[in-house]
Amino acid sequence: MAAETDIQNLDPYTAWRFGAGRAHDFFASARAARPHLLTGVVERPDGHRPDPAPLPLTGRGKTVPLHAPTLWSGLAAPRFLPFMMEAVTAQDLAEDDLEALFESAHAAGVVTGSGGFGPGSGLTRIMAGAPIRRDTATAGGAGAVALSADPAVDAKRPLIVLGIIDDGIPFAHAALADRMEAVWLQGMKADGSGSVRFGRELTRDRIAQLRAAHGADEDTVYRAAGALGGDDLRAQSPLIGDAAHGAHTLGALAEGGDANMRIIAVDLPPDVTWDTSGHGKEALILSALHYIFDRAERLAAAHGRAALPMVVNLSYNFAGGGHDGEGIIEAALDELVAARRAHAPTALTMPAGNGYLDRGHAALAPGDPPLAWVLPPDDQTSTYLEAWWPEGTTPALTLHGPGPDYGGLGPIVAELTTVTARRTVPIRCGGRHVGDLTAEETRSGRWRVVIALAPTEATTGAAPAGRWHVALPASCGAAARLRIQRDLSYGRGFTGARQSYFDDPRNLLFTRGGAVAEKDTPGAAVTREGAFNGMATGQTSLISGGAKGWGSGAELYAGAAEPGDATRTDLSVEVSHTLAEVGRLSLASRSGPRHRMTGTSMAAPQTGAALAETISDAQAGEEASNYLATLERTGHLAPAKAGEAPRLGRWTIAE
Amino acid sequence: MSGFNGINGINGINGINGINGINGINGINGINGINGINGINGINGINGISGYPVGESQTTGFGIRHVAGHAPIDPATITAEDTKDEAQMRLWSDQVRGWIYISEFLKNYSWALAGGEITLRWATKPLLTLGNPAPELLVSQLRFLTSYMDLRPDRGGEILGQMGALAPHYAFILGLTPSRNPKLYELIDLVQLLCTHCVMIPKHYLTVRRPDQIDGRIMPMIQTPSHGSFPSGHATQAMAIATLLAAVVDAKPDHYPDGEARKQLLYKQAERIAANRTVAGVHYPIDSWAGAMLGREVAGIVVDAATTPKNRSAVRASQAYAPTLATGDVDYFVDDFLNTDHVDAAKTYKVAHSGPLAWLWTEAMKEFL
Repeated sequence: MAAETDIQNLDPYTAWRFGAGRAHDFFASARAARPHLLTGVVERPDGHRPDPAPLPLTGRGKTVPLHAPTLWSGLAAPRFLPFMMEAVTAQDLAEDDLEALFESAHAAGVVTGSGGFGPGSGLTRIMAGAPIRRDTATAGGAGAVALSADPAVDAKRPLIVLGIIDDGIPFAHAALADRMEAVWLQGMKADGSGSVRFGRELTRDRIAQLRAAHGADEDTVYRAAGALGGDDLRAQSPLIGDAAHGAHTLGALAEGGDANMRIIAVDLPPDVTWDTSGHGKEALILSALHYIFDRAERLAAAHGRAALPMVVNLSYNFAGGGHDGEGIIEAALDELVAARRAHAPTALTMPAGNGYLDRGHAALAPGDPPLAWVLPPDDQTSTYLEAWWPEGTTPALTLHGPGPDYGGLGPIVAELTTVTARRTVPIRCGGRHVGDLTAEETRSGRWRVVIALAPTEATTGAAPAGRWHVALPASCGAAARLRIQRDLSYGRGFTGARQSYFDDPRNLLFTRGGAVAEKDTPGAAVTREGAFNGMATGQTSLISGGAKGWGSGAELYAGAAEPGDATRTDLSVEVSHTLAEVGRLSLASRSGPRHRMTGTSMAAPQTGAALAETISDAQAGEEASNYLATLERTGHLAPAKAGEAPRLGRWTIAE
Repeated sequence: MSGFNGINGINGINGINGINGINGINGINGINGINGINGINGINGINGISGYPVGESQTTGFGIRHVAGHAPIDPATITAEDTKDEAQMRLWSDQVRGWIYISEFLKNYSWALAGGEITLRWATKPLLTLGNPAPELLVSQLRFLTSYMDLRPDRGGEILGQMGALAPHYAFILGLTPSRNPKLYELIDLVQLLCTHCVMIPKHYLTVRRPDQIDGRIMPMIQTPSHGSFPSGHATQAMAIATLLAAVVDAKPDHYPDGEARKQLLYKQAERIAANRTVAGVHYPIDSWAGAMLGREVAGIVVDAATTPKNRSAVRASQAYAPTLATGDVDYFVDDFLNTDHVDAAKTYKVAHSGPLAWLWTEAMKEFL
């Protein structure tokens, strides 16, 4: 690698993963031996609807077709387009190739022509995400699919769509299968039916066929559908286990619904579990929402109805981001949801996040004492930290490696002073290149610095574990918000992820009485408030926190926005009913048993279920916010415990 | 107390039956097995408690025997024991019965090696021919072990619990209890034990390395058993017990009006027990296929020998299994197994009536409605 790279078009995460960090994470896993497709999102401020034909990107002697998955027809010219890069294996694609390909997309001369994603003013931004297995792709593009009208639907009452995007969707579950209109299994091998551009789609009719063929043996149904049987280095679906995140959230959203509440679900690819930061699923999530909207339109047509009211739950979370609603995925979701509201009431429920006590959020001012950042040993995945500055200010930051003794300030390993353009500085420890520090102007105009560090446990190029320090020089124009990205395994599969955290001696972790301190300590750089879901600060989402059912306030983990963030927790849901019943009961992956799970992921779909009962009362086009007012008109809400508004919102829903 | 005595040969203080033998073979401590079989021991414990008095009672004997007089016993007054249909089996301890069943079964079991294959035989005819899996197939199958490793946290408890007697892992499917179904438990334990005897022969002669003996990344969650990998003993036993109990369900439709569902559960449990050994890191899926084939035959032989009328034979189709990288590199699912035809050409073998096995089956059937 060059000592200092100058990549204009790759986001810092992609630049690290494809560049200096190539020895880790995805490329270090056995899965990388199989061909993959790169996913991502392109943004064009003028909006554009691509032709079905792929856009050929050319750079450094390689030509790569860029494909779009199913796009909802209700948005004539989307500004944000999910894509997949076909016919090249991700592991063959070097960082410089990627850069060249993306630059070719920027060059209007290349993009013009027969169609694809061009022509016009060019693309302003390309964000690459997680690679997915190439054998998911259906050659020749997605064909049409027809949904049938279930006679069980009461024609006199409203027909509601419950949408869900999650992992481990139990589409054959006895409590759900009769209402499961369509499910898109994004990570499964293509089966030739070709109704989706990658993965497989099962309609209600197909699910019924599978259930008829295999009886009550749901294992065999999932296996016959291709959802289980993870050979060939394919990650296992969460459905292999008894409990699955998607089973739990979908159960909370839809189990209590009647025959007029129809489910359209998207199961994200299990293979993306190698990414432990929560970053990189943007294209998959955006594709999923397009799909749900499209299939809802087909369902409405099958029933001879106009556009259907819809509640979509998205129980995902990442810690980073600007928390200003301007993240590419937030802006993209907002664009889609707002467009659909012109046709029918459309709500998006999301969780507040679970990082309240994780010591991953800090406010650091110029000249403050350096803030200790502890990288645990035996972390086998990359570690990321984002620093965000207010609009109109530019960043400066000093990064110290671990000192000679555990507590002391170590040597400066990377430094960023005057910045006027995007810039990457390599982070070196003991002569080794162990990370990249990148400053870039984000799409909102705010500057951010992304620090990407190698795993502390790696066969090559490990970053040293220990107490690192972050400082803002006195010359820096403004205080910054620092956010450590999540570094935890989720779903199935061993990743070896271990979470880093800020160690601020001013931040008291316990009260004088010995209880966990739930309030911030005045004067501490680390604050609990601000530890909030970085994907949930858009304008259209309805945000749920977690409450304890015996009136003692918020669940310890329930995230909270800080004043000045674009959104906050709207309401909370009882997740744990008593001290002994920790977590919410919902569906297991197979019919019959139930499981408890904790987290605000379990709160958001319950809010969705309450809203689904009443959303048909709302009128198309009337909602400028997130339907909290619609919910307030129901009998589901009780005032939240006083004094905990940042974490509980205004209301609490009890089960 | 007593019980079936398998490999151990000598009945110790606890007399812990064939299950102990199985544990011994697996190199696992025997305590798990003892737990599984406690119910039977409890019943047999009555035999132990009512055994002959010694010591102080001897003085009683010498003190009172004179009152019975001194005349010889008239041989004509001695009636013969009832031995019709092996009724004398009821006189023996279950440990003794175990020795009899095993000898009765193994007198017909033999094998022949040829061209890298082993042919297991019943009364000189082939019952199952197994090919030796090539190293390329074993290496390819490792991907399943790597994939299933994810389930160790979920399945750890089951895996440890399935290191001994398997009867309790099926009993809850059919509502069996040791007090109500002592003879059926005896039959289940017998079948499990016979499987151990039978499967050790192909394991011994085919000598297939365990997964962790060809790849250091498998790291099994339990100690690797000290015998060959192919076929899986657990799969053999699990499929045998499922097959046996499916026959019981079929024989007792009044007791099990939901028989089809019960049988589905029995086979599903056989799959799970076998797959758990892949999760644990000690078996390739092809081991489970081979084991399931052998187990189905062992149980089939026992049921046929027990239910075929005297002087008659049941005819069974000979089986063959020789997985290759091209044709057999698959995972093991019971649904696939039951729907796959492994009949070996037109070969058949005959199973004759067995008095001791018929007695045990009949007694076990009396325990149901």
